[in-house]
Amino acid sequence: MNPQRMHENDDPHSSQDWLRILSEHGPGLLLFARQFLDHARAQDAVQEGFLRVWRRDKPEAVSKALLCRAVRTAALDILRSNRRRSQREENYATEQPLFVETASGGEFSSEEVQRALAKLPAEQREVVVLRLWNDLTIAGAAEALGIPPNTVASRYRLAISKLKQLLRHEQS
Amino acid sequence: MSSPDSEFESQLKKLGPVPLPTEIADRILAPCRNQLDQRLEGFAWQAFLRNLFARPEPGWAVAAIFAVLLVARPPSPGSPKQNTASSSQATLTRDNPSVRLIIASEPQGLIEGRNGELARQYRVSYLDKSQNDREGNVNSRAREEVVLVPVSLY
Repeated sequence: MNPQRMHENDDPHSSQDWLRILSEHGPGLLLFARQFLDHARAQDAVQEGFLRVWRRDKPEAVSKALLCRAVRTAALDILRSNRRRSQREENYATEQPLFVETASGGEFSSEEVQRALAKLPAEQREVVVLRLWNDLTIAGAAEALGIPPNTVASRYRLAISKLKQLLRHEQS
Repeated sequence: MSSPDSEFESQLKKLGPVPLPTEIADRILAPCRNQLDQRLEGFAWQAFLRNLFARPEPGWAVAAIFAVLLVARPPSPGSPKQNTASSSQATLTRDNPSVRLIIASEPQGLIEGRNGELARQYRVSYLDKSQNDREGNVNSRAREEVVLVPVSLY
């Protein structure tokens, strides 16, 4: 066997790629996991989800949708194993801040957005978080959630409309 | 012109996810980092072998592998505390190296091995870091071994 050929797929830089992927997507993934779990268990879900992807895929094959899907699966597994699915709603409204201002002149504060998000049904909330704060397209969010794109689109429209209502109401 | 909804969405996007504090990122990534480290060590090992195999004389590679196996053998009972490497790769780990450098000489002719098989003889030099003094400090020591590589392995 030709040793060069044997090792042609082993790229030492790929490990650095994984570290870059983690630092790039970590905050968005944690925010997504927080839609299902409290802060500590959300961290567990991100860890587990990332590990699953890391074991299975090459860095060049990893997309945000894939990572989100793996984190969601891990989060749901944690919920199932703890038999706390009923806490899905109350888990969200915890004291830990979820957002920071990344651009000045924003109309809404992070607390206002967090409170408004908490009032959405979980399935709408996760779509909004994937679209707005993980930069997924409708198709990407559909891939992450394992549901049809049309469903994502309608949930997203509903969620945005409700969020707008809630935030305007809060400000008035 | 942007639609009212996209204006609203861009307002929401002025908020971003809270960055991961270092200690939380470390906690989340710890298992990956541990495995990545191991994988990186694997890459270092593979690169080492690849370089050896790339040499015109493949006997170099075989001799070097034999040398690593030789120095990676577990310490005998009662010997001073040493690295208890159980495999050749373990001896090359970054945090606990017992072998730093291996240089195999040009083959020094054919001789007859123990079982009567023809073998090529190499002189292998390496830096052994597995020897501790009485205070437990690691003393690097240049060592040399003669390695016999059976001709059948070529």
